[in-house]
This record gives sequence, structure tokens and C-alpha cells, in this order.
Amino acid sequence: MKLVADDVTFWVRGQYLLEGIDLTVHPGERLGLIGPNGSGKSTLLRLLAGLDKPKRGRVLLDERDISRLSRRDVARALALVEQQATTDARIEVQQAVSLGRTPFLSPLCPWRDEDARIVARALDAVGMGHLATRRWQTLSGGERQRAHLARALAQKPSLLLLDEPTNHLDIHHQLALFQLIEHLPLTVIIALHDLNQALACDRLALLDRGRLVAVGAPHEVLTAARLRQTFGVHADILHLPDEPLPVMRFRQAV
Amino acid sequence: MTAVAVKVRSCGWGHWLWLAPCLMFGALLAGSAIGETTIAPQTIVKVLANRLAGAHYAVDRIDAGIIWNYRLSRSVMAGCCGAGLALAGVVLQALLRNPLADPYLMGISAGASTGAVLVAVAGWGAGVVTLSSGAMVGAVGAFILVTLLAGAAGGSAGRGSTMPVSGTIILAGIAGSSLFNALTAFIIARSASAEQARGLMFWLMGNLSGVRWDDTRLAVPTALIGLLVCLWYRRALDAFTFGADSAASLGIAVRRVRGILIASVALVTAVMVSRVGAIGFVGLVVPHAVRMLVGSHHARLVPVSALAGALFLIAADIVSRIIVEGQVLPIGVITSLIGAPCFALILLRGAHTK
Repeated sequence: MKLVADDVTFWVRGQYLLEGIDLTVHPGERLGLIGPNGSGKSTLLRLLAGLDKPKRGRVLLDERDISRLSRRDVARALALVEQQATTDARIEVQQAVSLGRTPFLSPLCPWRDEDARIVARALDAVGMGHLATRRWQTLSGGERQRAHLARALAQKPSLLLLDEPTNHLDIHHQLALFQLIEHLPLTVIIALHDLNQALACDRLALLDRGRLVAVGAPHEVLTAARLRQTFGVHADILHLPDEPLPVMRFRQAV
Repeated sequence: MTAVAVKVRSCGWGHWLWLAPCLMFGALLAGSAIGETTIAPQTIVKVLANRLAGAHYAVDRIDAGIIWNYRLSRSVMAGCCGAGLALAGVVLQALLRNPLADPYLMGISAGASTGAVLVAVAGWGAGVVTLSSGAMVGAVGAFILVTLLAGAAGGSAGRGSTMPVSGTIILAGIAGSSLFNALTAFIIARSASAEQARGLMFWLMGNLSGVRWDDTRLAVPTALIGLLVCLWYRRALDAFTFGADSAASLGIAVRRVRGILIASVALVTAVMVSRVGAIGFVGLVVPHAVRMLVGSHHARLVPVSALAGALFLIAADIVSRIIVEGQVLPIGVITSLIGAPCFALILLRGAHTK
């Protein structure tokens, strides 16, 4: 499925959060959204997911304006994992993951065995099958994030939108989550802070103060000059002998 | 292995379904039997058979009158109110993601009282507007005022969400309740006669005395409609578990669904309040107790809360009739006596889990 942002512009109380974003997400690619704090990554993800409507421009899902599609149709095509959404409700993990089936159920159409199978597969995919009956509140941050991912997978989306999914996770869980995402046969749009992790994406889109300043392959986008410009840091890009991807080391720019 | 575990979730409580009418019948029977004079269950069954099935059993005419015109109508009304208010609590708690949300604490009942008094005493709407629709306007007004106030007080739960967080809504509710109660008192003082005022004050506490079959004609369908709406949107209520944005990304048309559910809550609360006054804490206590029994899945929580609310209020009504000999307490006193400590417990438990 193709997702296109066409001149997407968004403002709140006269302040521009995004301005004139043109971006095409190709089917099957992993696109990383990067940029400093407040550059508009989360806002862009919300607009791409159809949660907010652009004040100007359109978001097109397979050529159709996403704001004209029903929420249900959007949810069948596209799943969003927000930053650290949580709850006080006393629910079990499998119950949280079952929510992913919501767009496929209706008041009169009951829960079927097929839905249960999809939920079980989603739980297994994130390695949480053994935690299915655990209370949500007893999960660690990493487990919660994986459960959210399972919920999104239970939606059977063709597009997966992730908003800084590795925030607050320790390094082990960060790598595990990335490995998981890397092997999903889906189109993935992921907002990221860690630029070394961003190097593993197929393409990167760099946002700076609400504008898209670069789109392309990671090594084209993450140049030393551009990093100094947008992040205000000096970067050394190191190529290690046994590593396919380069590694970046940062210093405060003077 | 996971497949087996997940399957449990779907299989139901269908074989418990027969219990609901039995419990309701038992409660109504008790509601008709217990009071200042105790009436034998056989007599009640005979009266019911006479009235409903056209039988011709010989029963004492005074007993028959007490049962049919006084106690049974009252118990039916209590049941409707209990079910309706419990459902209102379930919906508000789910939508606001706040365990303390309740039509009484949020000032919705107080707003409904003001609306009802405006129509009944001050004569607004000039006979065109009914008591219930006046109460409905008051209830919706109070809800909007209280959520706006809570939102403006800065307790917004995350980006793009207008739903306020825990404590703020209660504080806003206190402000709203106080305002609407003061308005109600003001309207009564200005427009009502001394005798009217005495009756109204009694009614404001939540009072089932003087309920007749006429009153149930609106309450029964309203409670049933409330139940059906909540059951219809049970999955949407579940989808709000992780917030409104999460519900939207799960395919819920948040604005529309929220509008429909809030309107239903306001309608149910308004109809109940306009008949029997503001009965407190039902919407808080019942859903909490039920959640401990059946979990927070709305497919179960909604019907069981409605049933439990009905049973709870019928029982509270019985207690209000017998606890002080020779006197009938307003039922609101009983529910508050039970509800206030439960409210404290929920607060304490919330403090522990944080």
C-alpha cells in the first residue's frame, strides 16, 4: 500500500508545526523519520495515521484522501504504535492485543476462532506468547512496548507506523525490538531518535523545524554537514571492518 | 499454547444468562414483600398473577394495593435507576479513563436537578418542555461545563486529547456540583412555595417515595435503551482502554461514538434524576465491584453492571424502608453511606498502585 503526503501543513494556534511536507512511502520499505526534538516527527506520524487532519494539503492512502476514508477502513490498512500508551484498567496482555481486532469486528459479528488465532500469532511474533495471561500492570516497559506492537500486528495492517518505539527501553530491548521490526513483511514508518539505529532503515526523512530537509538513503541524508546544520553536532562516520553499516560518533560542535 | 489461552477469552458466560431474570424476579419479590408490614411471597405471586395473567385469586385488597401500587412500582423504579446509573458510571469511566468518573461526582446529576427544577418550579418552557428534557439539557450542560473546566485546568491526558486526567475531573465536578446545587436552591427559594420547597428538598436527596407506575413508563424504556446502546458500543468502550487516540487508530470514529455515548449517559441520568432526584455513588460503586468479579471486558462489564446496579438499588430501597422504624429514609442517604467509604477505598487503592 502506498502512503503519500502531499503538501501536508499543520499548525496549532498560528504556530506552524509542519509546513509543505511532500513525501511518498513506497510499499515494503522501512522509512525512518528523524530530526531534533520538536521538529514535527510525532505530528507527521499522527497526520499520516489520519488522527489529525492537515490544515493544508492531503494524506493519500492508495490514491484516496485518508480524511475521507472511514476510521475503520484506515485501521484495517494502517496501525500506529504510540509512545508509551498505558492504562489503569485491569486487563490481561491478550486482552490488550485483542483490541487490534476491533476494526474487523462489529456489534453483531462475534469474536471468532480466526481472531483468536491472529492474536495468538501476533503474541508469538513478538515473543510474548508465554505472557498472554499476565496483567498489563505487571509488565516491564519493554514488554509493554512489545505488547503494543503485537496489538498493531493483530490489526493485520499493510502499513505500520511507530513513534519512537525504543524510547525508555534498555539497549537489549532496543535491539530486540529493532530486529523484530526489521523482519516484518510490512511497510514501516518509524520515528527515531537514535541516528545509529536510523542507519538500518531503507530510507530516511529528515525533519527540521517542521520542514522536510532531506529524503533518501541513510548515507545520503546523514552527512556530516547536515548533522551539524540540523542537530548542531559534529559527527565522525566510522566504517568498521566487519560491520555492514557504518557507525557514527558525535561530539558537540563548536 | 497461546491459541488455547486466547480462546478462553471468547467463550462466554452464556450459561449464566438464566441467572439474570431469576435474580431480578427475586429482588422484585423481596422489594414487594419487605417493608413496614411484611407480606408473604405467596400473596405477592397471587397479586402478580391477578394483575399480569388475569387470574382471580382471592387476596386482601389492602395487601394487593400496597404490593401493586406502592412497593412493586417503587422497586421497578429502583431497578431502572440502579441499572441506568451503573451504566452511566461504566461509560464515563471508560471514556474518561478515570476510575472516579460517576454522574453524581461529576455534577451531571446536579445539572439534571437544576434543569428539572427550572421546568417544574420556575415554569421554563411554558408547559411545552417536559421535566425530563429540562433535566436532559441540565445534564448535558453540566457535563460540558465540568469537562471544559477540567480541560482548562490543565489536566489533559496527553497530546491532542481533551480528556482530563484523574483528580482534575473530580475537582471540576465538585465545582460544577456546587454551582448547580446552589442554582437549584436559588430557584427553589425564589419560585417555590414553602410546601413545594420542602418536597423538593426531599426529592433532591434522592427519594423513591411517591413513585407510581406512571413514573416507570419512561424509566423502563430509558434503562433498556441505555443498556442496548452500551452493548452495541461494547467494543468501542474496550478500544478506549489506551486512550482516545488509540481508539481512533483502532478504527473507532471517536467523535461520533463519544457523542452518542455521552448523550445516552446524559439521557439516562436526566430521566432518572427527574423522577427520583440525584442518587449518589451508584455509578461509582457498582462498576468497580463488578470489575472485580468479571474483569474489565465491556461485553461482560456492561450487562453485569446493569444487573448489579438494579439489584443494588432495589436492596438499598428495602433498607431505606426498614432501617429506621416508622420512617422512610431518602434512598440517596443509603447509597451515600455505602458509596462514600467505597470512594475512599478506591482513592486509597489508586494511591497504592501509583
